[in-house]
Amino acid sequence: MKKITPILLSKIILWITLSSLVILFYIFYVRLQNLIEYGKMVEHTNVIKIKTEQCISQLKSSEVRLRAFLLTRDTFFLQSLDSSLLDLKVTLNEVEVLAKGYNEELTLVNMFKNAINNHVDFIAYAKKNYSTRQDSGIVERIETMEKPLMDHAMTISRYLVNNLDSKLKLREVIKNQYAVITPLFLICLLIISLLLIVFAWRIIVKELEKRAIMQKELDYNLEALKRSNSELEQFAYIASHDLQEPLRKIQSFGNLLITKHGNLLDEEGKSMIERMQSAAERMQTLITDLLAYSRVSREKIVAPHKVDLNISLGMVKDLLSEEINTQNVRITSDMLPVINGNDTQLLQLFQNLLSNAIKFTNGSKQPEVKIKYLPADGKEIKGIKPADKNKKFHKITIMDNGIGFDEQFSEKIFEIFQRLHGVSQYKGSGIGLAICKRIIYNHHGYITATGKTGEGAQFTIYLPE
Amino acid sequence: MTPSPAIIIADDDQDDRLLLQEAFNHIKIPNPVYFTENGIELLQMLEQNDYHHAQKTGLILLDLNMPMKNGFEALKEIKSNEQLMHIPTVIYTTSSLEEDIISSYRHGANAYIIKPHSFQAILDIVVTVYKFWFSYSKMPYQQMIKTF
Repeated sequence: MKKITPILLSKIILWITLSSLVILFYIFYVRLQNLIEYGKMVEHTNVIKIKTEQCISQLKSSEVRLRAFLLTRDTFFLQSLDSSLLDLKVTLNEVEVLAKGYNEELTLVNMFKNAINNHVDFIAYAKKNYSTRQDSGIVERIETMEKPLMDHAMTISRYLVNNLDSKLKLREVIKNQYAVITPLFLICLLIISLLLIVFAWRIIVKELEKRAIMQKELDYNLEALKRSNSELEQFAYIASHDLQEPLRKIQSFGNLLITKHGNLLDEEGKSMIERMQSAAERMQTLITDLLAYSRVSREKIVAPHKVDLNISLGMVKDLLSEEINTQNVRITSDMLPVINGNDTQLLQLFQNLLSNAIKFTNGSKQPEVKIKYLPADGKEIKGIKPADKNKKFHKITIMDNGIGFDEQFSEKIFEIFQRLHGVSQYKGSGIGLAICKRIIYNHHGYITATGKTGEGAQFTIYLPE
Repeated sequence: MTPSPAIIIADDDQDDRLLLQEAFNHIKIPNPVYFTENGIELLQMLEQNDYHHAQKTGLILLDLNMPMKNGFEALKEIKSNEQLMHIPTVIYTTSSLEEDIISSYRHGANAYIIKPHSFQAILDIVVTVYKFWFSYSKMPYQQMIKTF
């Protein structure tokens, strides 16, 4: 199962937090909208109700005024009748406008309007037909004629008002619900967001604390590593230097023994001393190489300067001219670049690589060494530091057609004292390539080796541009 | 006849002294060869020979790393002393450090030789140095030399 890393966890928490906050805010917004909406509706319903009731009362007052006029024949009532009818019309219109958009109410309002209008028509008719004629029974007659109309209007108005009342009640209930729930919801939302923030914060703080501890540990380890490395280098230097002293005496006295008392020894004795001498010589090689290695390790390149690698290669060819000539080695080389570095170390690098190529020749073939140059991107280097990936490099390949080596040793051959062959077969201390690696390291470059047994070896060095 | 100028060797290492002794014995020279073990002894001997006796010193082989008074200190004193500064002083040491070489020449060393790894090489050095300072070089005193 894939382990949940803290980074993944914090990402998950972040997204959960963000999405839940968005959802909660949306719900909150809808609820708030509803609250406002229902508030408006309640108010609206209230207004319709009031206006409807006003219509009824205006209708009633019109009716009263009509009767009063018919009874008294006072034109004052006629005028007030006209004004109350006008008021009624205005109010009715208002109701109609208010009800627009509310289908259920609109139907009722229309019915109500019709009823009122019928009544108003009747009043107008009565006013017109009975205002001039003197008729004692007129009031009763009109009352009789008017009653069903009035009843009808009243019924409808009652129905409308009841309807509005029930709606009002319902809407008020809903509105109150929203009014209670919405703040509660807001508080919940706030608490949840706060909890999530605190939770996320705690995770981040925990992670940061862990990192700080890890960083400290890393720094400490790095320091310890540096110390132990420099101690090791110091040790290698001192050891190799101090080992040289007794060895020098073993060699010198062995030599003196042969020179001075050689005639006292028989052949066997002389051969034994010779063996001691050659063992001592081998030890000397080891020590001088170790010294060279530790020197290369200690010498950091303080002030790099421009080094023409063509010149370095030429010097190495001169140095190795004896071996090159006796083994009839054919060396071909591309034009090499000029790089920033330490000329002594780069000379040593080429000397080690070239002498290796010449040393491990394949008896049956004419020895051949090819040196090729190409610019290269950091991306193509195996095992490169991530920070170097985008850098440009000089790629120099040194190929031979010698005995080669098994691919599985391509890392191991750069380790100090690593040898793939017996000393009697091929001389050497097993330090040469370790020195190469160190020099390349000092120049912030990379070195790799590939090979095939019996076909040749190929060393590729990458030096930063 | 004045005696042949002496050769003085200053080296704290008994083995190296023995090897040099053998080498000088081998080439059979008339010059006396004296051995001292540190800078103090060397300067005492120089004082005795060159100040108070007719015995002159013709060559000093000087090790650098010695107790009491090391090679550098002895070299400085020799080369700043009017009566001794002409004496050829050859540094004979194991150190191959660049700074030691530079500083030796700066203090007036006449040559700097690193101790070799074989008796044959020691012989070569002794012969060459002897020839150079007692045969080819004209020195401000009479000397008897051996011809090879």
